[in-house]
Amino acid sequence: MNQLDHFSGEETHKPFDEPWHAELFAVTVHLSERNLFSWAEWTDAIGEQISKVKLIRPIDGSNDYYNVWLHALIELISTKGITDAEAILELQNRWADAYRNTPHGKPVKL
Amino acid sequence: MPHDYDENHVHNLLPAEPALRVKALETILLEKGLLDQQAVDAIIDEYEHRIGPHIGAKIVARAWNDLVFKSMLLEDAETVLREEGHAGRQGEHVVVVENTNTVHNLVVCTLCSCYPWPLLGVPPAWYKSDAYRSRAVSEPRAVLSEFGIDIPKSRSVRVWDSTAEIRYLVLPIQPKESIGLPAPELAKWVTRNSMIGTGLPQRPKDDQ
Repeated sequence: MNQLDHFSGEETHKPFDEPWHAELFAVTVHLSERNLFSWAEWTDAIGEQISKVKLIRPIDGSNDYYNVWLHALIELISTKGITDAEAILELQNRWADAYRNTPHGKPVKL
Repeated sequence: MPHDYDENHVHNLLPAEPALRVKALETILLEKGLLDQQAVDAIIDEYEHRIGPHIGAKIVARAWNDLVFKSMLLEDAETVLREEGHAGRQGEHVVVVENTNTVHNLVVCTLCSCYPWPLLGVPPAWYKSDAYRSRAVSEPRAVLSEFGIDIPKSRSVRVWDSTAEIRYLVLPIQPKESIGLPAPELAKWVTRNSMIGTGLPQRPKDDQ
């Protein structure tokens, strides 16, 4: 099967498939503009992550790509000493609990 | 199941795992004073609503109609785009490559997904896929044919690999039927894919 078949003729401009793709994209651009890292540092970081993952499996250009992006961003800011994967996971679990415990329609807060 | 009902309706729907992780990341950055949520929202708004291939299309249409502008664009796109107010992020070091009767240009980023954002917006999903990233280089003609373009053997295919330093925009060949149209009409012929090299300009749908 042609791997690009489903792309042919596709012309619609849809910048982001999911809201979290947009958030992640914008956070990365923002951090770079605040000089937490240069854009070249960023492309090196994501390039390295892509090279690692594609040895194991091909990356699709949507959820998969942004998952790799997220991993690369967390690694990059970890090397800058800003935070680390463990701290993020802990907070992620707290957010998950907050969603589970907040009644429908009420704003979710930590 | 009652439990599912409970999860989905009585409590808030739990976002997907990566979405939660991004939220966690944002929370930490906010707490550390490293993130301005308004600035992040403004970036999203910009790329969702204001920046997209219509900007590149305008530039291409103008180049088709104005030979002086075209030669300046091919000579030094960076200066032209800065003067036109399209320098923005990832707009530095843009190089415009012209399709001719002897050369068809194709743009890829083999490393990640470098792309001329101020002219085309955020790249489409296929541009970020491994399939495109690797095959555009190893078998460009096969890839083009899957996009519905068959380039005659007499025309060479040149593949441009974008980097954080240089990003490319293809100046497609103007369709004969569009010659003489005013620039705003012409811009409608310029498809996003024609500026990446994976498509050709097309008669606008409302004109068929």
